Amino acid sequence: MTTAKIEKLDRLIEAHAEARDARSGSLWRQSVRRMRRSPMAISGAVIVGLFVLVAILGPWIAPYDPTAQTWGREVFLNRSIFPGPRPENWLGLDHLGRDMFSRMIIGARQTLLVGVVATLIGFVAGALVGGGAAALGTFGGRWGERVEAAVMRAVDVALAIPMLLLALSIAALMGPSLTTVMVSVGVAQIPIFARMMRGSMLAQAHSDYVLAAISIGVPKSRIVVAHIFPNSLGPVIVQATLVLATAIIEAAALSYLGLGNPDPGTPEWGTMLADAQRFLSGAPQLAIYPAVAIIVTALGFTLLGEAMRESLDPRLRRQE
Amino acid sequence: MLRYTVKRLLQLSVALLGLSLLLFAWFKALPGGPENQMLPENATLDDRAALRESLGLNEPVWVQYLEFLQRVVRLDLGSSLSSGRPVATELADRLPATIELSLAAMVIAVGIGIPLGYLAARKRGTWLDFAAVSGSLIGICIPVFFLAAMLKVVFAQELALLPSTFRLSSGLQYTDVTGLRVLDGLITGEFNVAGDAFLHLILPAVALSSIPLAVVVRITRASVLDVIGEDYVRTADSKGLKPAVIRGRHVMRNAMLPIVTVIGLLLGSLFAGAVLTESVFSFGGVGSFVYQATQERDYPALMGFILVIAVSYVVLNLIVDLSYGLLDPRVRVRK
Amino acid sequence: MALLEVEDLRVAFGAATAVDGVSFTVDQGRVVGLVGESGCGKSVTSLAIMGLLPRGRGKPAPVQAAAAESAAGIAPVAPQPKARKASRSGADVSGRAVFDGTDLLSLPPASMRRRRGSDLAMVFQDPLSSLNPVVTIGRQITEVLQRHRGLKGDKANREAANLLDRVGIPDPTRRLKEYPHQLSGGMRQRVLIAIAVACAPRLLIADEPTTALDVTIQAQILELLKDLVETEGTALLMITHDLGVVAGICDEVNVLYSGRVVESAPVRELFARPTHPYTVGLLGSIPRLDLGTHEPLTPIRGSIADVIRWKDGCAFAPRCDRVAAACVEGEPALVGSSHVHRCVMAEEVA
Repeated sequence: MTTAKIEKLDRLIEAHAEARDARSGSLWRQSVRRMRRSPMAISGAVIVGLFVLVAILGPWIAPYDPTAQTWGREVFLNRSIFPGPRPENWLGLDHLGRDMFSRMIIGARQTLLVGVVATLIGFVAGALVGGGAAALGTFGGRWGERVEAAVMRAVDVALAIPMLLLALSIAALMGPSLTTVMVSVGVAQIPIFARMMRGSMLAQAHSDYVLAAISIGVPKSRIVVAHIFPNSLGPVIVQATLVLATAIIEAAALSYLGLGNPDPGTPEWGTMLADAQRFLSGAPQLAIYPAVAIIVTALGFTLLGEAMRESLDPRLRRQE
Repeated sequence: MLRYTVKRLLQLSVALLGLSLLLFAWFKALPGGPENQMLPENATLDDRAALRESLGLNEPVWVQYLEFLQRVVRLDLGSSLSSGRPVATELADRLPATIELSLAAMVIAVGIGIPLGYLAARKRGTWLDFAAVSGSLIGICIPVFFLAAMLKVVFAQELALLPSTFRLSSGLQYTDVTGLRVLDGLITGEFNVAGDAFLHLILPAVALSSIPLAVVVRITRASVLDVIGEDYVRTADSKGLKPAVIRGRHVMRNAMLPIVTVIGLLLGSLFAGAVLTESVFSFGGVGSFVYQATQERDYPALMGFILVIAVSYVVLNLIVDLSYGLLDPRVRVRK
Repeated sequence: MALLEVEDLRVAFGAATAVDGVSFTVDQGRVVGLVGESGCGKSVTSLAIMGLLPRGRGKPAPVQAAAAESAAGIAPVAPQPKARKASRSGADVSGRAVFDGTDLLSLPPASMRRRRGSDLAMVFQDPLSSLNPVVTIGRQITEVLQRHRGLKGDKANREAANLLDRVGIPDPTRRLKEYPHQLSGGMRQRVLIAIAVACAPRLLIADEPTTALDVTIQAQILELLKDLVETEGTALLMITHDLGVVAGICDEVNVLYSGRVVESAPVRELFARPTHPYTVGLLGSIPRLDLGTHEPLTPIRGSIADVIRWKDGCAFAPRCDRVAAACVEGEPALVGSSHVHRCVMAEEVA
């Protein structure tokens, strides 16, 4: 883990915190206003909104049962030539004679689930580790400082393992399943969240309002829980939006490596994309549909996250 | 500079120790314990007991860890379950292919990414800038294995412009020097080999470069935008220096600092991407090996791979950090 | 003939006018001050003369250059970095800046580049951010020697050491190998001055050269500038908001308000008989030891953002104590010969 990277991260985080200090009350409102003007934010929000809507309403939109091999006979008789789009199957059939459109619609829900759960695991555990370390380091005296140093060293070591490999090694321990994908992708994100949370907390801990609170005798535990922690979440939430995009892509990669959901029934874009690799030259559409869905969704979260980050970054803001 | 180097080296050893602990924990946590993963399926109970003894699994944990450490240092990583050969040998045989592929991808990412990012920044707000920014955003979101597979289908299979698999056409004689085939061909004067290896390298390298390229474009653009607004660039301008000097010495030398850091960090995603890309193109590098190991639950092979990748990542980033020290005099004196 | 003759200089960033018809002259070997609050257009004027403003394309930019500067507020910051970043369409510059018979504003970029750093040079406000952090002091000096005087290698290094010695930096050969962060603020400003005078320019523009420095260092830097001007016969255009600096170094003063010269006079004359209410206000808001401690300071009320357009009347009228109906009846003209001012109520002031 490079110190330069850590410093860069910390600087980024401090920039966020400074912005909040400078114009605390109106900052969020300003950011929202700025985002409403930004085409990046709008397109991101629209994509994410649509995706979530489909994920929720999926069962009501999908015309067929996504697991029923209704047209199985037709596919098998045709020797693996899968019919493309036609009136009764808008996106054609998959290799088992199931309706692709229904699978795509229902798949959105699983994909969202995988992404959200993985991100939540990383977010919650990372925020606890990083936040706890920062709190101990700042207010725990000498002993606390040592614990913080040890924890953060461990985080740095974990950061030295590429994220996909970390996920892969965890997945290898657990064996292929949907839970494996969510847990391994989530756990692999813990270090980065811990880093960000700690940096964000430290920036808050040295801000004037915290000094003021200490000087008037507010208990330290209360300062941490009621002020520093909630105020530090902003940049970490932005990071979470970006991680969601990564999580969806990495879940697909794990599926491709054979560590995803072994149950071919439940549709999930990553699994579908991985399965379709076998038919790529004959029926590329089977891969292209889920791939495009994944790319567009990941793009949506990325756009939204980047727009949020830009609107919070005082350095970028000054350039407007 | 010396103190800075020593400090970084100390940090490196701490990181490596931590890494070994992590790997040890991972190895201990494997389903059925490590001995299960290191024995053939038809092993007898006696074999098992013998192995447990020889692995020192009856010793206290810290003794086990020390022995684990010893074995790792001696590069004794156990034998691959699928091939039966020592993991270290398997990895060593395949490493050059992965290095060649990663280097090629990095050359593409840096060679195209930095000029493109620079142009996007200088032409901020134009269609070129828009295309570079949106292209890089999309580039980050494309699953690497899908991109690799599509490139293969389109350029190798449908258009038949480029070879689809392996590192060389079959039947081609070559001399092994460094293991990087393109380089070897150039060294030994076997230019047909170099050319053939180069053609085989194009598609995998392009696929693998997608994410690093996207990231390099974005960071270069942001960094250059930052720097061209700096006072010292205005000072350089006020000296009447030639535009090329301003661009090189004053803009790019400063803009390179964050770019170099990011390139170091990208190596991680590059290694991970190599696993996916190599398996698509049967490239025969470490990545293909690991893909196979994952399919077959070949844990010793996996562990060896993670070890090699993590160590090289840490070492490469040390090098990046040190080069950062060369680039930025402020780092050298900082405590 | 004057060395530099600025005539009716106008600079607009899109819809926002930063400099609105400024004229003044700088004679050989003289020190001329350009004085005013932040946002009055003094820095933009100097950058326009140096050709350092981004070229405009005639498209209106969404940036309120003057407003942006005054909004930045507390510290008098040069608007230029912000303007550079902000206005993609750049600045639209018109008027003339005749230097030794050539209009600098109409020179093609390449010939202007040959003059920058040799015929005319500039010293900036913030010495830390104005020096490249990753290039040695020596290189930053020798690059200008190489560019304009063709000096290379050892010759350039020896000359650079001479220059550092000249601006009062001890142990110059060692300093040449150092980086900006290894020097103190005062030293850095000396380095910037050394760079500026490296090719013996005939005109030196100093944009708030002392603002970022400690008071004791300020005096040393002013002393150095004064010394350079006297021994080399260089003309100096001094941009400042600090009337103390003006009193210490300038021969003539131009007071700027909202993009225009409102008063211009020899320095003694200006301090003895300030005519424009804005000048009076500026003088009234600095503490004076000679008046005793009981005299209260009289700040100018309002801010530079309270402004009306010059063509509608006096831009200072909203903040002026002596405002009358005549002040907002059309554009006030410059009156006077050696001591000129732009106030229709001048008699009352005097």
